Amino acid sequence: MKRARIPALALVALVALGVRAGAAQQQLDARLDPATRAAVAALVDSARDKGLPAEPLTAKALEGASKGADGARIVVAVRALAARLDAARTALGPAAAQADLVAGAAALQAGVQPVTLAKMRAARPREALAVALVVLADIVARGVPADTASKLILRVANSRAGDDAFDALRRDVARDIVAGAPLVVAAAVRTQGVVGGAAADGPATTGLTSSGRPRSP
Amino acid sequence: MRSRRAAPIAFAAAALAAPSAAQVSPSVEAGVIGTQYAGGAAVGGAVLAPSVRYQRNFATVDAGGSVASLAQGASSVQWFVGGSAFTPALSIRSARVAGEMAGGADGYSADHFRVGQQLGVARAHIYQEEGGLWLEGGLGHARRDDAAGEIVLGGLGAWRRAGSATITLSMTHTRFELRGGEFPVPRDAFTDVGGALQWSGPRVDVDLAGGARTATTQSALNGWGSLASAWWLAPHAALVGVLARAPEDPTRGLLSGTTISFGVRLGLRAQRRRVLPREHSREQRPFVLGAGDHGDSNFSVDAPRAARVELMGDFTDWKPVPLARADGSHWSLLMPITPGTYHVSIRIDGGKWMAPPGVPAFADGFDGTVGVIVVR
Repeated sequence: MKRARIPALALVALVALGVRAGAAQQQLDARLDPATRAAVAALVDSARDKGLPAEPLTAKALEGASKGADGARIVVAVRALAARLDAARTALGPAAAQADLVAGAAALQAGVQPVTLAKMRAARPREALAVALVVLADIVARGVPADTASKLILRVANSRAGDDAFDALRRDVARDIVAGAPLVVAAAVRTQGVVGGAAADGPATTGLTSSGRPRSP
Repeated sequence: MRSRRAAPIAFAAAALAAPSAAQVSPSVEAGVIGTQYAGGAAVGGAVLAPSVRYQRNFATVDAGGSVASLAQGASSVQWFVGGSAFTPALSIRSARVAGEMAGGADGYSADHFRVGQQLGVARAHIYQEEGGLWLEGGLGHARRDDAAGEIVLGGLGAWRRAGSATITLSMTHTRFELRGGEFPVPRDAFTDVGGALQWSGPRVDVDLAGGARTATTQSALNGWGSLASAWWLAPHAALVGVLARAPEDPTRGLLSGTTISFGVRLGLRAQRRRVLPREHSREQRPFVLGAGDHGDSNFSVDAPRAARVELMGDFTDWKPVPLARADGSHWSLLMPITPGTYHVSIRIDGGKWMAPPGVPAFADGFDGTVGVIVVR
């Protein structure tokens, strides 16, 4: 009985994907001018031939259309995303999930080197990397040098910490940066906290003695 | 097959959300100090001032002290411990309301006298995005050597944040009495009116404060002020300086005085004390992606002044979807989203599409930004 259900479920999934792809195509037809539509379709077909997911590319085109971008900008953005997805797939491996590829593309856009993605995959060959990669991309986007952030995230990845630890790391680094801590220090200290279980914060007062302002509790 | 987690990852404004664990932050300062009380001679010496802060979500406790070794063999010791705890905030129309209970004690002893004070204060805060008001009332106890008495105070204040600066104005009325001892003080009262400016730059923290204290039967109107700054030379080290004129303190019988000090602080620079904890600030949770009742994803945006909030992303085929106002300041949207990594943008009142605040944001290729979320 179970054997019969698996092909049936697979068929349902394929039909759903087909319906989804058809809906996206209809969206492209309705919202892009003919020249842009043709250029985007060529990029999507090319990506599909390479085994890359088409959905992120059609989504990028739709995003551009909804944000009022002209056709040329849309084509440039879709082409750039396709290149990043291709590089992410090369680094993460042919079996990488779409969620990981999209997150990997975001990391590459932020300035992370492909070799870091490959090291992340090596550190976690069978686990989803989307959260770790988005956290890495975010920390780099906040101004922490890419090589420094990459080393720190790889350290966490090698510690076998879960996705929640990456999310907590991102939260703590962001809070430290907002509070004025130097970028590299914030990232390093918080990584130390994740890996070593330590946390650090800072002093409470300014000045050697209480100021002239009347003290309140 | 990997099962779907009950809750999508909340890349919320996690950046500014409550710390998940307690933090203990020690620091120590060492330097030189010069001080002169009214009618007295100036004295100088060395001072060592350790302090520690314990912080956990809505509660903060500070403790510390200083030991000064002054010229001609004199010395003084100061200590303090204080803390405050906030209630969760309630939304009322476009404003929020939160309560605060604060309490503290301090002491000061020199060669010939010893003074101290314990004080408990309750505050009610009402605030919006960048500013707020508070009302306060408190009871306490003061002592000077063998004299002791009660303190009753009431006050109000206002604060406003502008960029990296926070400006605070306050007025406090204090009634007090010191009974017994060699110099008892009959029931009396004074009012403090003052302002403060707190500013932080990339490497510098500055606190500027000033005000006036009204006269009592035994003291004249006197002004007070202070300038305190820290210049961070390294992540764990700063040069610190204070120039302060303290007002006469009739509740404890302390004369007014002027102090100047310079030194070095060792300890990691971090979050400075605010009128309200970050959990209560507007950036607190501007965008949250959580789980709905039926496995749907629940988007929540904090936009108290908005008339319309829209969201679009990969999962809407980049068609704008309006959020519904959930209460005075929150807008929400429930929709089914399969696990994956998605791009998302929001706009408020028909403005520019942008990455939701607090969400990892990247250039969208169209002269704007887009957020990235992971649903798992």
